[in-house]
Amino acid sequence: MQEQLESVRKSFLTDLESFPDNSTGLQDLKTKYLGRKGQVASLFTHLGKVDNADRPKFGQLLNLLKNELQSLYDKKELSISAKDASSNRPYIDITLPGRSPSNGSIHILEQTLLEIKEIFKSIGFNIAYGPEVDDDYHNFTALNVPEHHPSRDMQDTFFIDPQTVLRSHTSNVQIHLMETSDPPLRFIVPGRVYRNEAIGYKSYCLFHQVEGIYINQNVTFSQLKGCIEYFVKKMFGPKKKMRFRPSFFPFTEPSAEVDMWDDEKNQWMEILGCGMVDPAVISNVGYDPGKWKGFAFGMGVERIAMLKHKINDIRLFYNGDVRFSEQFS
Amino acid sequence: MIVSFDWLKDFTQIDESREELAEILSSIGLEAEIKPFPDILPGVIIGLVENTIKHPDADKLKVCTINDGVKTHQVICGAPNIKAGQKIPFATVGSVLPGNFKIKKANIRGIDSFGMVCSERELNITDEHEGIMVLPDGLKIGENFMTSYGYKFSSIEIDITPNRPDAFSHYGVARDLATYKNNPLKPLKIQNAKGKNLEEITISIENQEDCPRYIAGVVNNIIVGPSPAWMVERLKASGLRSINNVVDISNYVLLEIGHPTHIFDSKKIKNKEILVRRAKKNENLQTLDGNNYELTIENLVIANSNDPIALAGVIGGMKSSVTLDTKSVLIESAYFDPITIRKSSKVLSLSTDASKRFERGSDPNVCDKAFHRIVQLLQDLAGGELVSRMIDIYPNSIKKQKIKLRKSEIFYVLGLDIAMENVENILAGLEIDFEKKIDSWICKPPTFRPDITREIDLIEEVARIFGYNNIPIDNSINGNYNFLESDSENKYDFIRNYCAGLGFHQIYSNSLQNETDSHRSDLIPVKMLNPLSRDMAFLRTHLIIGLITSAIFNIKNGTNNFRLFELGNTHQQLKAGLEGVLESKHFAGIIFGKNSMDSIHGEGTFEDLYSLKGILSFIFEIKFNTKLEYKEESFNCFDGSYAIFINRQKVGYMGKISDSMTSDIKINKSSLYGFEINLEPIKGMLNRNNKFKEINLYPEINRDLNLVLSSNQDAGDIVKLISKVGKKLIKKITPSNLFNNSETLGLNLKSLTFSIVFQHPSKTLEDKDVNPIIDEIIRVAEKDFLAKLRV
Repeated sequence: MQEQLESVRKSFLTDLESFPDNSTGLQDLKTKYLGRKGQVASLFTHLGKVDNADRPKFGQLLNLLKNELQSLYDKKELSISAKDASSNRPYIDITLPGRSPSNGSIHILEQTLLEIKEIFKSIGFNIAYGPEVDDDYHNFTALNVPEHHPSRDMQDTFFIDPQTVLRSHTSNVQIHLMETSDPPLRFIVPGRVYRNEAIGYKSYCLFHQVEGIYINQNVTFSQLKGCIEYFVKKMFGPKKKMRFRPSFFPFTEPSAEVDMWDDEKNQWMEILGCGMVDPAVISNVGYDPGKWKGFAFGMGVERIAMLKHKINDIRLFYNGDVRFSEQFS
Repeated sequence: MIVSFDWLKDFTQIDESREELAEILSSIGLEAEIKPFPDILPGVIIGLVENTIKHPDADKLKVCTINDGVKTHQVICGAPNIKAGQKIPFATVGSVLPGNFKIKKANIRGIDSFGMVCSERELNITDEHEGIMVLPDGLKIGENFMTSYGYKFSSIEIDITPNRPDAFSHYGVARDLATYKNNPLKPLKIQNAKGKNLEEITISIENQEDCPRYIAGVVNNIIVGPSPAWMVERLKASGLRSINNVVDISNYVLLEIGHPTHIFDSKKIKNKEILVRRAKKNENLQTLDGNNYELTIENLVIANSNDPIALAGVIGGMKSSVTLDTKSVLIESAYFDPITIRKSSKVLSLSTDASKRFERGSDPNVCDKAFHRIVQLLQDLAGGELVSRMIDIYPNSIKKQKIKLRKSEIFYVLGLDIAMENVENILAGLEIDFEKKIDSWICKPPTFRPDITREIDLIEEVARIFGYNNIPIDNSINGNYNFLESDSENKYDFIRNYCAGLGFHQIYSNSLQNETDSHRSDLIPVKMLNPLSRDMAFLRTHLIIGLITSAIFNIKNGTNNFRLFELGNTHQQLKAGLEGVLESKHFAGIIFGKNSMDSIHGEGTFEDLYSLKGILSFIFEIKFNTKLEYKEESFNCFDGSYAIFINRQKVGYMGKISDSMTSDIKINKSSLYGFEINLEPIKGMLNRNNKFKEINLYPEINRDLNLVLSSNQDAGDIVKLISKVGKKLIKKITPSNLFNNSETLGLNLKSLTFSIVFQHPSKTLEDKDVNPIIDEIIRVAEKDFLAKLRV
């Protein structure tokens, strides 16, 4: 009995080994060994002829054999069917290009603005907007830029009539905000501003500005430094070297310009202006300058984007060149 | 203002290099830029021209022999001013001039040349290149040019902010530097000139407010001639060209102490009568720059016997100017009102070194010093003699108010706890008189600092000199919360994102347009009073023009498939004045070419009106849950255009871009479509607060209804009918197939298939529920739209 078992097993393994890799004849193999009249079944019929004492042992061995053959057969069947499926699949040339969805993009200035907004939102600034056409008072006088003062030359302005301007900065919105709400307040104001400057690679007749203002009791220049440092390092990386340099803006006192070190150009690059809100501005909007202090800052979105992405011509932002847009999609 | 490094050293000790000095100046508010300057030029030496002979084969060239102290070099030189006996900067063979210009042995028209005689421009000293630079006699032949002489032209350019008239001079810059370094500032050595009383001057001032102080005096026996080398060199280093000794003296004093003065030829002033008055209408003045100005009442003039002879505080007149024949001069050292001078200079668009200082506010109390300095220099350099008294008309002496500076306020503003001693050193250095109190100072700023009028201005001075970078950083800003919407434009971010996802590139276009483009619709654009050019004289009323411009730009650059959009403000002038200006946020787009690319997998399809409709429906119906409708209506920029309605409000137009707008591009423009929507009326409706609706799990029944209709019957009418008849059981109706064939259908007929999806909210629909609805649709369609069921 033992020998018969071994011989069936060997014969099955030989057949399986030499079996071709396709499904033809697979069923015959199954019938030959595992079928109802197959060799394993016939061994079971021989079981009756075995001694009673040996019957359980051989019965167990026979069952083991049956399971072993079944499992080997199943593996074979699975591998053949997988091969079959792959040989029936149509030919795919995976090196062909895919069907490309069309590429769109959000303007790089918009992306930069969103990033700027995100940074200031994270330290509690709200966002406000205001008119692009405004009166001289909100654009200049209220901001401590008197008529007939040389500081007016700092911003070449477009006039609609002698008292109405295309705003030269978004600071006009600061005044509107303070006129209509009580301190404390903390806002940034993005928007389009206009300058009567000849168009070239460095200047355009308009640009986009983000101005910020924070009014509260106990506001210090130290805090302004902290806030600006936070912005610069969030925007350009925590290792960025920067400096504060005294400057002059009519609406802030003391005023500062912030430079960032450019490793490639090996020089300081101006990135924004800021300062403590001038007490004259605080009283112009009806706040008590003895009680309220504030800081303010202003930056050009174009300048930030140009520094960040090494864009060398400001006009690229405005001509809608798809070849430019695609680089920032 | 250009500051000579060498000149600054007259007034305070400087050990720093130019770079270090520029860094310091920038750090205290005098933004400094180093002009490119060759600090060392090895191989460029002092040479002596021994002789020159004409080049045998070139009229303009000379063959020169240059002595370097050891041997001689043969050099070909084309400069007209080269002469034997001159000392000159000589670039020997092997030296390198600025701009990496290497000096090599050359052969010029058959004669060898070893080295080059340099002009000022070649050495980067000035722009002068008419001839070679001729050096003063005292220099030793063979020595290095830069270390023995060229260093004198080393300078730094400072951008003076409008609040700092005091920094408009070498002395003023030195004062800031000395204060910063806590070094002494050397006093100006000016002796008061003792005048004889031989000449009388009559000065009248029409309005004291225009001219609070006027000093004059007459100096005789002047010999007009060249200035001494040291003065020429310093002026040159500061960017000024030497004219003659008298003119140079006035300029020198201007750059030294910052006060503008004027020197007249006194023989040209009748009876030495000076009248300071406003110009009269139609008065003319020819000024020193040769220009003729028609004056207005805004101009303040110096007049003599009815005629203006100078534009006060701005520029002198030609007629009364100093010439080579001048023997006697009248010196003017005045203080003019800043606003008066500003207006005078603005109205003529004439800005000068003098007007820049007066309009910022010069120092009324330095006029006499400037006068004496001029007299002193005229005596020393032009042989002059003061023959009049110094006439000083100064009825109301200008003084500065006292200001209290509290140590506590310095802390509150700067967040800096600074030592009393530091504050006092800064105040003293800046010549701010102070009286020390407990924890405060009573300060009296000098009259050369008109910008310091309040405590905060003093705090700025403290901060500026102490150094912004020495003020600590505080990373806490006191918190306060509010419930405002943090960004009212968030909803536009959705539009931008949807568009980018739909393959649109966002553009930013110029808001300023020419007359034609800004008048393409019925809206009246806002017009500028002082436009940059005629091309940019109006604010845009629509965005589509900018998109068309960009489209043309891209097509010309070979981009033939694109979608562009812009979200931006437009303006119109509803009535005159600021109140009549209406600002509106618009959203516009343009599409061109194929919306899916030709590829190995198949051909793409061209954009058309239905692309636009699909895009708008995606954004406004699917994303923003509003209702879109269209009505044929003309719009100037489009051929075949439709008015767009959102929630029944007319908000804009879409259509094919009119060929007349794109006549300068020649390619097929049949796929160029655009739209423009005014978001103002609907911005409140663009919310994304979607509420969950239970998902309907009951099965759907799909039916196709094929109707034969008149060719010009809109599908939309039938959709409306189906929806009306089917009421709530209809989930979706889509016109799914269109068939035109007059042979099978008959003339002017088309067949339209409507795919209808039925679904009941609370039960499984059966045919018996749907069939009567279909029958009713057919019945009404036959009756109202002469439709026939196609079988």
